[in-house]
Amino acid sequence: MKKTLALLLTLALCLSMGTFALADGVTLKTVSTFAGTDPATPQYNAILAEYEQESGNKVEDASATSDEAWKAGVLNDFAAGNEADIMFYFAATADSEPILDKVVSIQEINEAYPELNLTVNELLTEADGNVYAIPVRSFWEGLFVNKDLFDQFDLELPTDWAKLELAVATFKENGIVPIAVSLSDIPHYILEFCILSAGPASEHQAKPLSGEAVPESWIKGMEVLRKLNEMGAFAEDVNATTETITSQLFRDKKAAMQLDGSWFANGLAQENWDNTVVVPFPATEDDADPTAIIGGTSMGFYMTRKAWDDPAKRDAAVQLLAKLTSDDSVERMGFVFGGELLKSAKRMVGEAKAMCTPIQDMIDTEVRNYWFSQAPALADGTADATEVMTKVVNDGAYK
Amino acid sequence: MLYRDRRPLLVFLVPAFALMLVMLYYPFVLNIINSMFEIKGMAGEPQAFIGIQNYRDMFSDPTMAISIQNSLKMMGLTVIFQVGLALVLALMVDSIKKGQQFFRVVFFFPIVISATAIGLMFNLFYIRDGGMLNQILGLFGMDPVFWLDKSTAFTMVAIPVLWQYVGFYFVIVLTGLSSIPEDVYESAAIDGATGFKKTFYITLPLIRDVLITCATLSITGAIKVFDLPAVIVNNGKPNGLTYFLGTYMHNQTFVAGNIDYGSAIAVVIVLLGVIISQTVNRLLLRVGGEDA
Repeated sequence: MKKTLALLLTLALCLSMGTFALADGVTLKTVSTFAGTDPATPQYNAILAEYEQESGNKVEDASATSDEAWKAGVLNDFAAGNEADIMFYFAATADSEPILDKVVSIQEINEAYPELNLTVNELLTEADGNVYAIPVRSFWEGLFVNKDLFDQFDLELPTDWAKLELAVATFKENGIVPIAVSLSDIPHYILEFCILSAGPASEHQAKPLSGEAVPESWIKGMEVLRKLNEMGAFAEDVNATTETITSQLFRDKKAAMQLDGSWFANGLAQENWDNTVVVPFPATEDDADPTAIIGGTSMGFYMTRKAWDDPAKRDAAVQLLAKLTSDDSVERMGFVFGGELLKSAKRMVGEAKAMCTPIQDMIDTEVRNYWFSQAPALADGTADATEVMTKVVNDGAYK
Repeated sequence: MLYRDRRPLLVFLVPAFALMLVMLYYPFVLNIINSMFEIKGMAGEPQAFIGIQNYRDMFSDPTMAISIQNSLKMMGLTVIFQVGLALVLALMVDSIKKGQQFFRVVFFFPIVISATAIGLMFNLFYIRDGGMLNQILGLFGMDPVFWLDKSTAFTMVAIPVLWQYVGFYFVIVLTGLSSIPEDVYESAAIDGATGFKKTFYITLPLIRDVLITCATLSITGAIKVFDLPAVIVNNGKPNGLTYFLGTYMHNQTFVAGNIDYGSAIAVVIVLLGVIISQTVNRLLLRVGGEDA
């Protein structure tokens, strides 16, 4: 009996080894932010599945929702030599700087595969003059408003500071969180918009070097954050909650407003497309541009040098990169929403006299971590805005 | 001599030592070296030599002070509540005739649940809007409480940390108790020792070594605490007040990309762990009496 069992196990082992040996194609590793609540996730996965079927290759995808830990994870994989072959990651930002010698420029790929003619988007040009990533969607950020709540309390949309103040006071009185945000988790939207509301867009994009004067609006902006907190614009647990919870408050109509990006619009249920609108965050200073928003193109698909240098993988990886960035894929993975929400978004972007790149994308990771960590203290007044922003600049936010 | 020829022992010892060398001592030495060079990001190479600058910076870093303070507080709490509660529970369970096995399983159960799952569970307890605790308060007509407020957040994260490991020390102490020969108690009973006297003069001295081991394990465990705080109070929320040495090291290394400073914190964790556990171990041995 034991001999028979041993024989069967040996045969099974041999067969499985044979199966491996006979398997066609290669296995490619991918990583992206098409995961979690990103509505493009099913389309992204479908594109990968189509690629597997068409090419006979396997794709192992390790996508996850984008946050600081995800960014760090991608960099850690590079450090350990365990990077993906194709990845969707930040480009032309401080986050992409450490990986440039480990990814392949699109120009280099086009030289070797001229028939593909991959898009070289100049918006994603790195400091060395090369473009390493192919974008599939651009983004904008703005103030999402539950219009039905404003209608319920007979309030005007928060298109200027006075209207915002009135809305905050009214919602607070009625037990609705005026602005949904987690300062301990994802504070960057509100930090960016507070700066933008407190001075000209050019100051938001100033990029002061260490030792240079801190733009006035950077300090005033942090004071706007404190003022909002004093007005009761945030939930009691603003310094100890998560973005998942605060976003749910907005979706459940327990919060009236939320600063977020275009990806957030995609996550809103269709029945809310007509009672949700997006507007620019109101200006608090006369020299601030009330139409200015945050936006641009900051992510794209990369091919890593590791995959490029592997003769067994190169063709397969290039093929996958071309597939993911084809016109058809770009259309499928684009933002999908409609109704009043889409109309207001088009209006906001169309009327914007300035579209600023997020400061957080451009500054040093260590400095950014410090700035974000101070958001709760800036809001409750236990940190001084001038001291914090001076440290941000002097610690080398911009190199 | 049981092992006249000791050479075969080397066959077993050398691979284990080599593994320790590669997986523990080499990274530790490298970590000390890294803490003295400027290193940006996980993919970064060591740049300028900065000596002990990172260790100096710790003295002016308020978050580091909070982390050390919280870790020390957690150490004290683990000894009192983890080992203390485990001892009380073990003494009670040891004294019952029926159901010992049931209580062993019940108290040990939290250990087998993943810390992440426990963390998520407690997160759901603490949510201000609709969390379990506030739902219960709501049933009694009470207002919701902000459980992770500045003044209560440390306690709220300490509760699950302490609760999870009580069962671990409970099992160790119970095993120690079961190893005490029954005839010792019989002799004591003849001499008139019962109840508290029996516990204080016979049981506790006989499991002193077990308790010292538990205290040492809980102290070293407390200084390394990471998983539950990382899930329940990520980013040291609120206001960075709930950072522990482990979570602050993780933040600096993996989020801020401040590799050299993260390495320096790791060195401090090891040094503190060794110094404190050794001190406590010797102190307890002295207090208990060398010949006890």
